[in-house]
Amino acid sequence: MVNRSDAPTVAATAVLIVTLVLVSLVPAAEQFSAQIKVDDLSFYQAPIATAPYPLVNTKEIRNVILCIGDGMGLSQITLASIKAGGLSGRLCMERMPVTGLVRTYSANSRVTDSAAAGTAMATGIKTNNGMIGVAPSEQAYQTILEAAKAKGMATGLVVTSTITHATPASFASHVTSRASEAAIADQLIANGVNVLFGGGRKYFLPKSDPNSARKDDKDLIAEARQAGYTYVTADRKLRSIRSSHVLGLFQFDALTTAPPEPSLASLTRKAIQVLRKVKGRSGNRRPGFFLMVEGSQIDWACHQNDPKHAIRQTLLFDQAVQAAVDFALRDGHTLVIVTADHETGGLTLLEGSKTSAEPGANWSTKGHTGTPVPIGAMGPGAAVFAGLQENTDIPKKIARLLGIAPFPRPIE
Amino acid sequence: MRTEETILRVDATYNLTVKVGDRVRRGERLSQKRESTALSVTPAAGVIKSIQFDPEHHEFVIVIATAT
Repeated sequence: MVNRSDAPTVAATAVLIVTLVLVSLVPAAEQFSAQIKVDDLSFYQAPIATAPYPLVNTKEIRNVILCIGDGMGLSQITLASIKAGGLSGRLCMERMPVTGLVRTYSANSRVTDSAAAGTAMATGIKTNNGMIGVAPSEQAYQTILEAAKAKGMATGLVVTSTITHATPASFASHVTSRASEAAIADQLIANGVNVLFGGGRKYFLPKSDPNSARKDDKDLIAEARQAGYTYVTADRKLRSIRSSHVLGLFQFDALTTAPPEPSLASLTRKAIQVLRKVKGRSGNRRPGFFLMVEGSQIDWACHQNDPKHAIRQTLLFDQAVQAAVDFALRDGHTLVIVTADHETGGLTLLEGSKTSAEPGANWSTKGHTGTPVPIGAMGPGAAVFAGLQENTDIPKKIARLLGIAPFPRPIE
Repeated sequence: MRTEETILRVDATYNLTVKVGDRVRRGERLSQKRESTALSVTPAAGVIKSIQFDPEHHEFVIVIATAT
């Protein structure tokens, strides 16, 4: 409880932000409820088979695909699974042959946010909530994406939020506040990530553009083009891409996750197609790739305690996992990991009403929770993800499997 | 007596301790954020009129109707 003597200061601060809030409130509220037919789940085809995917004996790992469901706990997965395939059905992510649990607490809280959790899964260190790619001391740490790139691998980030949002930012930028999205955009381009797919075009436009959210004249799209990126904003242009560097920004803000936008699954397939064709430094040999795919909006649905949107977003994410798995099964040298950064909503499943076959969704909070989240893996090296682990163990294990050392590693 | 609206933004990571319709006192805590109480307490007494989630900034936007 705040001291009474502090209250006037707090009040003054609140009054100062009221005007800004009034300006931004309406678009923010409307953003999530874009023209989506939330009951129409015909886009999703539940797997016919329910058996786990086969364990792979090969030891050579060429590619790593890390799939993160933001806010996706066990109940979110189960709720979507029952809706899609009934009690005996399985989502694609439920067919992982290796499963485990992940502890998610951050350096300064039992309950993490996506910035600290993303940083943990990217750098192998725990940091404070709100910080991106840096330790609590503000020391920057190399991310697993940057380490893979330094090793010569191709890299990619595919999300349904702005590409500058906390989770993707954690893999290729270093800032002390997740709110610094313009600075994050600068670093994503400077980092030379091969594939950047998501929303957030407004952070790449100069302030002279009426849609810009930047406070400077930097035209990051022009800078990206100069650096060799092909820039796309629509699905039809995406299909003809032949470049090794692609910047795909399909909305000014977050994606709507509805047509005519490309789906997270189709963006994942396209990212894999681009990344597997990137040539290594020494010529033709393909160097392998690291790709992070995030179902960003599961978290947003759960913050609103909205089970229908949570189911829809989880199934959209599972479609993307299916795209990664399809490639991994064909390729034989790709490790696929599916996990979450934290659970949102404190969701539990109850018996439900007598008239419905669906379970009742019971929410205990509108915030995040500190409950462990599931992890599943398939492909070479998958076995190391079995059991209970810290979120910081995930990039450490990936680094070990790829022969990257030392890791974690501070950036000088 | 006039009614005004006070709008607060609170980090959405943490559990809210208020809901729509709650009557709050000045200085009352709005969320269970441990490390800081700044901007997590009400600047004025009133009734919680609405709570909306802002996904871009990952914050709850809380509107308090205050009588002046």
